[in-house]
Amino acid sequence: MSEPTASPQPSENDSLRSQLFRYAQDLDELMQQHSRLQQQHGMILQSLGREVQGDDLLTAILAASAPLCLITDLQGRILRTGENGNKRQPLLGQGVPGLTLQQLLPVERHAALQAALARFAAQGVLASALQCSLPFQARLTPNGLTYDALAVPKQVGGRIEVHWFLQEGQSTDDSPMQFLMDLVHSATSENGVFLSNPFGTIAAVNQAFCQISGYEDWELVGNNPRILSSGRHENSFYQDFWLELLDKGSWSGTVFNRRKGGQIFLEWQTIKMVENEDGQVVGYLASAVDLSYTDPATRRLQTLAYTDPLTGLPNRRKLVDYLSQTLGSGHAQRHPLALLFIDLNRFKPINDELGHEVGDLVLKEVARRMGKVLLPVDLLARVGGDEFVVVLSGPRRADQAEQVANLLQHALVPSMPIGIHQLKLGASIGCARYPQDAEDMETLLKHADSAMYAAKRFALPFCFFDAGMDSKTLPNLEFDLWQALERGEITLLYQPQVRNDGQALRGCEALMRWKHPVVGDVEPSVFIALAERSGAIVPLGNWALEHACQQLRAWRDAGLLDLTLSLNVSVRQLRDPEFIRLVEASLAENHLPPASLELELNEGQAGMIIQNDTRPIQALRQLGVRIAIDDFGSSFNSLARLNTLSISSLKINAECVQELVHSADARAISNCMIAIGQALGIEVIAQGVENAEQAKVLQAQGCRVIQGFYSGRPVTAETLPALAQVSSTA
Amino acid sequence: MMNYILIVDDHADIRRLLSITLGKQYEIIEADNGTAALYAIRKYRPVVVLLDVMMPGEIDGLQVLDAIKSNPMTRDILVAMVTARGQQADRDEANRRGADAYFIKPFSPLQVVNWIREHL
Repeated sequence: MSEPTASPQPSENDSLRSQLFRYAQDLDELMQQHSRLQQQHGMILQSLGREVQGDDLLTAILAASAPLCLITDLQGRILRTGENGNKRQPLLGQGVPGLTLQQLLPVERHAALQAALARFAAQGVLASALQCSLPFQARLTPNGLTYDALAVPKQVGGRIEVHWFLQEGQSTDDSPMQFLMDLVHSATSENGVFLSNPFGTIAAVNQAFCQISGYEDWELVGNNPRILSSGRHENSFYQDFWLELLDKGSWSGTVFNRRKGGQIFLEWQTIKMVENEDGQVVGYLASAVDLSYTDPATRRLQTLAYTDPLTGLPNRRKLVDYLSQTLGSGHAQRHPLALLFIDLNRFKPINDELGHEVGDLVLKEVARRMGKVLLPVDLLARVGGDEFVVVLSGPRRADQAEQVANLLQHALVPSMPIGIHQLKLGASIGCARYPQDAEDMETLLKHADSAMYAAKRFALPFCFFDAGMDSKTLPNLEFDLWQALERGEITLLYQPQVRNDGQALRGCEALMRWKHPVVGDVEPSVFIALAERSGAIVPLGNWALEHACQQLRAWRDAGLLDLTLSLNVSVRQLRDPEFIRLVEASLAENHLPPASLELELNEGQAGMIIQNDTRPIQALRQLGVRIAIDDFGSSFNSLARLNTLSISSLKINAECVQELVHSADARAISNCMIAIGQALGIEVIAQGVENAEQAKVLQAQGCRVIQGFYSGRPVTAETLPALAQVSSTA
Repeated sequence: MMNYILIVDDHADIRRLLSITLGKQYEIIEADNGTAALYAIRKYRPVVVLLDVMMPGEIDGLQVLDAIKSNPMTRDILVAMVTARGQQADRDEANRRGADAYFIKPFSPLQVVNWIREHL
């Protein structure tokens, strides 16, 4: 200050004044920001619904997920049970409200209960939650059961209520943690919930939390919530947060977090410390609301846009969003997933015949059943009328695709009681996996769809995608089968049945073949199964009967007089009241002796007939038509039992015949069947005979008639007379 | 270890304003001239120095900057010039000599706070 300068005083004052002015400007800016945030906060609370505020959010979420909930006042008086009409209330009778917890618990538990209630009374809604076990006496539950409980105080009007979330106790050492984890897993709210252990490590998350954070559950569990940290808060923020949480027992406020994809978002978090009766910290329960969509209307629209209104499941749009998020963020580490495409079988007829109301109920039930066998982290979406998609995410889960598909199938097996109907339906499930089957979402979906079609085509319950599959070449066979007759795609071939001694033709079995215009020859076992399932077997079988009878007439006219014509019939045909008349008419029109027609029933179906109604068989026998049991030995019926149908022939199944040469057991079985047949006066036909050795064994055992590649492949009607000539001259 | 922030300005009011602005989160030390600043840097090893350029005395702000940035022991200290000299040439000069930020008086306290937050 040695050198005098031109009066610094005014300039110093000026600069201070202008500096203060800048402070005022910034302050103004901050206040505006603050008021905007407050406004946002108000909207958020509004959007969270009615009374749900701050701490109450957690109770609201848990109330929707806990198996049981009791609500008491601070004296332990039970005010009501559950909330939102909680459906899962198997034990709590109507009489419970009005009682006190003390009345339901043994005396030695009263002191601890009193202490807990006193703590809630003293600390109010901010008190930490209490985890304990409640050994209810027989009054509340049939035998007296111990429940794991989580008690959370909640402000209602001017008073405090205590919500006791209950789950039947598992009496293991890690029971309290398991119980809390179960609560979190089953929290199907759109709001996130997570549980961390006393050291802050995440122990469980619900599906919504995964969706909000963009992480998979296996990426979060075992980690510190710090991995979500946005870097927007100073250390002091987290220090204050922990101090408050540890001091008061709960904390709520807004936090900036970072999604897996890097996006920073604002979250409203409520965290509650969970203590046991000894005052030890068991863990921390946190709820998180994504505030990215703060406008309540937008939020509601978002929910609507992503939900299937009928089943409440995520819809196609949600699925696409989910996949693009997961596949989009996974390019670095190739986050694997498996996509199951599920299409219901036999749903269309239900919808068509019983009406949409029934169809809708069926879809709801299907959604419920499938949801039950999936984990909370799996995504189940309804993507079309009767189409569902399951996404199994993460390396371990993706590997379980086939098991999960099995579980889904099993879940659909029990018949569904819908109104007066008992409905049975199944599903075809196709699976494509990322990254091995497809690099992007569209291809993945397409390939899973192709795999599903393949499963349908081959009548399999489940099919993995294979590079050879292309959905364009895989038409809907079940649908096409109904038109196959009109289009002339169904033909009959005739397989000779030959007398084993002199190779003379005994007769032939008429076999249906289907040449599909796109896929070509369809494996008979596949389309017969399809026809049985869809009911198309009745028109197909009837057509075959009429057609074969005309053919037999033609052969007889050509001089083949003593041929027997065998034909498979289905139980569905037999149940059709028109069937007997049709048989009678076909025989009469073609002037055929009834004994020249042999109707074959497979063993399983014959068993069903014996159990239900044998009248159609009796009527056929009265007509003089022969009855054969096909594939004998493939099921578990005794011949004596089957013979109540007064059968005329018995066909040894092909599997048994194939083993004849090498297996003494097979020889013993066939020997036995032939002997019994002879004793009962039933003709025995061996089918699937492929070589001379087998024919020789059968001949030695006394089997008179054989059928199979050895004596002749199935041939067209035109070729058969030639065979007859060959065999008669042989 | 404490995070010290050194505020160097010959105007006591400015020092006080900055001190109030940052004092809740950091430990503040003040110096009203260059010599005192160099002494405080040696003694407290601050992580950030907010440095006025024009100060009475033998050592001005830029010389303090030179001293900090030429010493391997101190060159990691973040230095922000807080000055009324708003010419581009002044700014370039400070940059050239290693300043990490440049705030022109009257500065926005929010900008200063955010800059420190980002860099610590």
